[in-house]
Amino acid sequence: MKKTIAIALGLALLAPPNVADARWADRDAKHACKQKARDQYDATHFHGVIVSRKGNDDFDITGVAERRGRSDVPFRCKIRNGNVMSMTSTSSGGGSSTGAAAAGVVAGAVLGAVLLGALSKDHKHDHHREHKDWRDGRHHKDHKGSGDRHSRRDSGAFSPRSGVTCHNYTRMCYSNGRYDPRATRRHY
Amino acid sequence: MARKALIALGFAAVATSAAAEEVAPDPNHESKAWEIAYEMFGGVFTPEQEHEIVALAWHIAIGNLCDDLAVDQAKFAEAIGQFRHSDGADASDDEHAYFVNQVISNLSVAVGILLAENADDPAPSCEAAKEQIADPEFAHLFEVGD
Repeated sequence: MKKTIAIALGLALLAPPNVADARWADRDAKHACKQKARDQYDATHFHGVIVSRKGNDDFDITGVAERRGRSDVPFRCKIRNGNVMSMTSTSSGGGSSTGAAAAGVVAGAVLGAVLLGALSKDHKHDHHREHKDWRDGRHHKDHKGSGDRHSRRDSGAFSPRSGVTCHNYTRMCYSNGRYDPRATRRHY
Repeated sequence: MARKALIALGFAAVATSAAAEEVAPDPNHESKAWEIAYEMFGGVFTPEQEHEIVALAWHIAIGNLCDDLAVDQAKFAEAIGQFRHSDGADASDDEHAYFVNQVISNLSVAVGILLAENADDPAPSCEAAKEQIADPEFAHLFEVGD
């Protein structure tokens, strides 16, 4: 039996019972809020969109709506019972504060606590500010700005050297037709 | 950096052309599947974290496809545990829980795509992995030695 199967089983045991269902519901919520942002702000693209599940059909979604020729709009979108209840800009620094955040503890929170508690011995000490990278042994600061990837993505591929093809959209490099993490790290 | 300079020199010796050239996408690259997978990442991860998820997935895929390679579970668990929400301490508990959920979910997706790319003919991938493992500059999570 392959040893890595145990890893998959271990992760499966830690996962909430209906990850697949939750995923799709999260995605639906995200799409609903994106559509609302398109209507309300004329958004053309998005970055940094984070979905937080507050209950079975309740979500808080934050992100940044990009607009063609105009400034970006940081937004917060609330979905209750599967409906978009509010879409507010947080650019003024205010943001809506309903005070209801303490209400719903979701299954995902349990997962996070269990998984990180089990796997991250230093979790409570570093306050998420720094971590050691297993690949280079260096300590890295948090990486803000996950949305940066969107603006740097384009299609197409290039060959940095013979036998290596790097794909711009996914920023993955392949050597002789096989994914090559070493080349990927080198070129992206 | 000296390390980068050495790498650059090493490749300059064997490269047929120093300049990167536009090429057709690699046919073995499941472009559509990866594009959807990256869409599913949903902006939760930093580019570096996206790379890391794929690299971790590669370990699982290779470990399962190659008879004589196995992932070091302790190292792997430590690597998983080092993922942090990019908002750091500003992330709420729910956001953090969602982030962890996303790490696991998307790791699984990436494993699936890599299996699809490699399972029919794993031998070249296994050989490539062994060659990379032998590179002292390449940090990996496979078991080494007996």
